Amino acid sequence: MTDLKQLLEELINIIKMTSDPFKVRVEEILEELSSALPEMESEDLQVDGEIISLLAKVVKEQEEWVKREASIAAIGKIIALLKIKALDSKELAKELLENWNPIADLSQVTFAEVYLALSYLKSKREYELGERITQGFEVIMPEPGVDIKQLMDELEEELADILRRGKVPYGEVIRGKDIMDMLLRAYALSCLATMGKVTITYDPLQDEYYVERAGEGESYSQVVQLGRYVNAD
Amino acid sequence: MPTRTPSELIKRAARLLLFRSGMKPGIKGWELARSLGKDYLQVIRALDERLAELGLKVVAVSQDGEKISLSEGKDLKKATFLVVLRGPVSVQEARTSGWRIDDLAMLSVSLLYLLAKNGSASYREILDVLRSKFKGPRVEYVLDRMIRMGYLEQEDDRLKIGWRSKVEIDLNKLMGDFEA
Repeated sequence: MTDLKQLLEELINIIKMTSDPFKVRVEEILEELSSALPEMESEDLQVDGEIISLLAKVVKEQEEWVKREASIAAIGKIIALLKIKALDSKELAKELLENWNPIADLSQVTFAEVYLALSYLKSKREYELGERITQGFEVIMPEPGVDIKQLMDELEEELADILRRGKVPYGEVIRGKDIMDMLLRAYALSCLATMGKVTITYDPLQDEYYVERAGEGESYSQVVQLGRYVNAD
Repeated sequence: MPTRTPSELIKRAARLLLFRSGMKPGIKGWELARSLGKDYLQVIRALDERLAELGLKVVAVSQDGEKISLSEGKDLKKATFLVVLRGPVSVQEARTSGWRIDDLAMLSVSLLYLLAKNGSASYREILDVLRSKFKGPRVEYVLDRMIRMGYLEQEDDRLKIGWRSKVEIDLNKLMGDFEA
């Protein structure tokens, strides 16, 4: 008796591997199923059903294939491939735009979607409604006349001495007399790091950032959230 | 003498067609019939005339994505009705609506390739064709975006022409209009 599971696997593989529905031997498979039917047991009937359902899909594809072949001359396919090869991006985009009628619709937001968005925003500390939004996140502009270059020179000199003894927690380096001073020191420090004069590292076990002497090797970008230091002060 | 369609019904039809209520745009014929009455096709045709002044038109598509004429006396209750732009789109308009020229070209290449391959090809094959034509890391991202938007359809590792392409793009003309 024909092994139905093997036949099903074979059929699935052929369908997956080829774009030509005529490569599936529909008639032969149907004959095999027909001859195997009298000996089939109840569990075989399920597999038999799956095979027939797949064959029905293949026949539908064959029908579509014939329809397409009949309505579009084979030369169209060659032209399509030639267009891909010969046209540049602008011309290809133009080909599409000339034959494109985009759908016009208006998206609307449901109450459930608004609620979902609010729940999401609530889970983000920065956007949490209530007191936190006003703590340390307001925009602070430096007073006119702040000389960042001078600040960088001072900080570099300061660090040259400290870093000789080893790495220093980032929070200690940027600590200033007020928030404004702290932000300016953090900015100056980031400039020094970008210039390769110091290195900022992160210790994931302690969840702490450190400032170290400039190291060898490939440089990479490091993001430090200042919010934790603002709140700590 | 043709009967005049009440403007209230036309307004209702416009709202039903233009406001998206599900994941996909468009509304089924039976939903229109439920809201507009048994003469819903007459209302839709009247709306189509009004929309023509705005450069829009109503189209009906079958479940396979084939366009069905609104004037046919067929039962269109299973068809999906949508509003599309009537004329072709300019490069400037496409850019304004967030399309990059390269993305449009990639969609064009994917569709042309699928048309040349009888409507189906493997994901890898399309990706290779796109990579041979376009440089940079955006190729795979754009291909996945076209699948998400419905321009291409993925079934396991094979790609087909998606429902949105069938509705929005005149595929025969894109291929070169070689109709038998």
